[in-house]
Amino acid sequence: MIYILGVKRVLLIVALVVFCMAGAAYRYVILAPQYDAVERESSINEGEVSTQRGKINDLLTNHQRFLEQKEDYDMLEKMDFFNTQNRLEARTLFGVLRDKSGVISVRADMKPSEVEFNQHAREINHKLLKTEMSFDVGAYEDIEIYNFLFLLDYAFPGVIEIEEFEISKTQPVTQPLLRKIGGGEDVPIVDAKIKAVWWTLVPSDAVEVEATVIGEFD
Amino acid sequence: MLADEGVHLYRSSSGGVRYIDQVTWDDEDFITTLSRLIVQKGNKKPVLIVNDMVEQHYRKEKLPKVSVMDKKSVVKRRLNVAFPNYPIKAALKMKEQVKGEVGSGTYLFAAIPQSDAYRKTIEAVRRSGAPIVGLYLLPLEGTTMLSALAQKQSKKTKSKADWAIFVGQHHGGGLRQVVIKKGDLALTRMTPVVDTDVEPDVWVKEVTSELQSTMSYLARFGYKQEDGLDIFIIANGDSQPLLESVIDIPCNLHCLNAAEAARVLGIKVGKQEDLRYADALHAAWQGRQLKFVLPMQNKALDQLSRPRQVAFGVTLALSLAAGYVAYDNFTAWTNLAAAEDALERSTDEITALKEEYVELLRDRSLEGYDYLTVDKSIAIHGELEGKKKDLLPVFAALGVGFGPNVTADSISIDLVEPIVDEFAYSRGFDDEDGAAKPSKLVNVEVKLTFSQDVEKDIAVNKVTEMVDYLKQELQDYTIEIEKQVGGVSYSENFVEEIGAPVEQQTEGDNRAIITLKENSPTPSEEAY
Repeated sequence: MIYILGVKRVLLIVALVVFCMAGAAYRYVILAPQYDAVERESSINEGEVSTQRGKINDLLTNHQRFLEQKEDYDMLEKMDFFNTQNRLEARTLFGVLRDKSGVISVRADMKPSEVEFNQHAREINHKLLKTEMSFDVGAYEDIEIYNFLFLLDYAFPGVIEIEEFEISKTQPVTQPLLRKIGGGEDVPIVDAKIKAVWWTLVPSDAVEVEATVIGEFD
Repeated sequence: MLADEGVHLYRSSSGGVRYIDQVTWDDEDFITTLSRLIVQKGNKKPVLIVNDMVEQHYRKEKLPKVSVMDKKSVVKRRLNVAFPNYPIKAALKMKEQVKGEVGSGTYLFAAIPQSDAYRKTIEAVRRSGAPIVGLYLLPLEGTTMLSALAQKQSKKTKSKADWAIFVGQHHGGGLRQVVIKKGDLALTRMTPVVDTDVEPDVWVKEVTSELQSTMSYLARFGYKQEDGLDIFIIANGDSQPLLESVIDIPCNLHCLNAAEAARVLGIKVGKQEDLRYADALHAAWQGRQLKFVLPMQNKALDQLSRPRQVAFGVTLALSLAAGYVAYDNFTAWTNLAAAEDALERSTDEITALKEEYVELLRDRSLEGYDYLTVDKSIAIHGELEGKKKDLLPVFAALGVGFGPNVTADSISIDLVEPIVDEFAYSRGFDDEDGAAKPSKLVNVEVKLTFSQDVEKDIAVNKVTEMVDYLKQELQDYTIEIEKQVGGVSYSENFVEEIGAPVEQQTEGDNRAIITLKENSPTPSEEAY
């Protein structure tokens, strides 16, 4: 074949074949994956650019709202919405509630804390802490129970969501009973059972999960 | 161009033909010289071999009627029978059609011997490395040139002739005459004449003599004067008037030099030393042809030309492929560069936007406050407060409704989940993150016990009044008397014993049960 075609022609064909193969290999083995990778990265960047622009727009448009919200936020802090649900602190607070409401006795039962999924909380690297609580409250009069309930709702840290409430007379008011009470004995006439959920918002790294019955206040 | 004395080499280009050189057959270095000329002077351009030697054999044969499928093999067989000892041969179907003729038409069989001259020429071309277009016979290929000449001249003279004769002297002295009838080769002759332009009368005399001889042959080929005859003679300016005066054949006589003939044909012969030679005209005409009348078939030629043709095709295809690959790579590389630029720009943009955001945040944030934390904390608190039920209105209504003299045995409050509406999602409820779950509903049960001293009628009235008041105050609730004092409600089993002592009356008679059930809000209320 070389005799007929000549060395130069054969070499030219071989060179062209090699050039085509090398070119195709470079195109599809090196350039194409590189291009795909760059395109992927560009696509991610476009998303990031969009996010950053959104954040800036959000900041610009919501700045006035932020100024207004600042006061509400201060109020949340005062309400201790960011309480870490420390059991010892709660124990002290239950004592305060008892004293302020005038009830005779309070038995508080706190279930282990749970973290409730919340997208907003996740965005600010916080967790929504939830603790189920139940109370047995004894009092002379129902008004004291209502006081307790009011204080629990408005003076306790975070948000208290009442789920169940039952108030009932434990015994009829009789002369012997009144004498006992007159003699200084704490005999509850009204009893209440309260089930509630305690919600607070805490930083993600400040979650305490263990919880048990923390005490009785008689 | 293969002539009897040697090979004449021409180079054809768009600017005309250029006579390169002649290599004689008796040259000891014939092959080397010719291949060197092809390489150096011809630049290894494709080689067209035109045979102008004396020894060319033609035979006209009518083929019997055969099927289309068999025609090729019959023609081949007849060609082999006609020229059994000539390896280089080919058959051409003629244009002429005889009225009433039965058969597959008339064929012109042509053959040339595989001489030593031919073998040397092929070897020289092989050594040069130039591709071979093919091997052709000058008289046959010249028919197209003669037809074209006759056609162009007939337009000028407005007289159409069936017959045409081309007379031209070639380098080496041979006088080539080609006769066509209606475009088909009828006769060709190659005769030696004096090769001089010094004595034009001698040259004219010899040419006229040869032309007369040809005319004598034509009668045998069926030429009649009324058919019309064009005669083209390539001659220099001195000889032309002599030819016109000497030739007395009834015909349209055209005496032209090579340049003039080329001009008529619309081709260029380029700068020639002597315009009385016709071979340059043939070379110019053949050099611009894309299709030839009769390519001569030969195994030795095929063995050389086929691989080179294939190699040429492969080289061309590979060159195109290489061009495409280069273009594709360039495009891909350009796209990649553009994508990388875009990526770099977007990365820079992200950095700039982040810096801008931080700066804005710094400008617009207040110390100790994080914008997002403030916003989201308030949102979460709002959600929780939204879910919470305010029980104080219920307690307040109950307190007023009872009045100073009535106390409840028990008040039981349950917060129950509302009945889930499967279409709630489409109406705005979204429990993905608990943000907009429907609020729980308040169910209240109040148990009352009246003293035995209180008249039933009074107690019943009191309960009814209380319920009326509660309905007025708590309009979002469905309030019902579950059990009325003395069991006098329509939903209870009523038993009355008249005259029985008071202590025998059942204790349950003095009890009443009132239920308050919060109504489910409509989805639109709940959503907002």
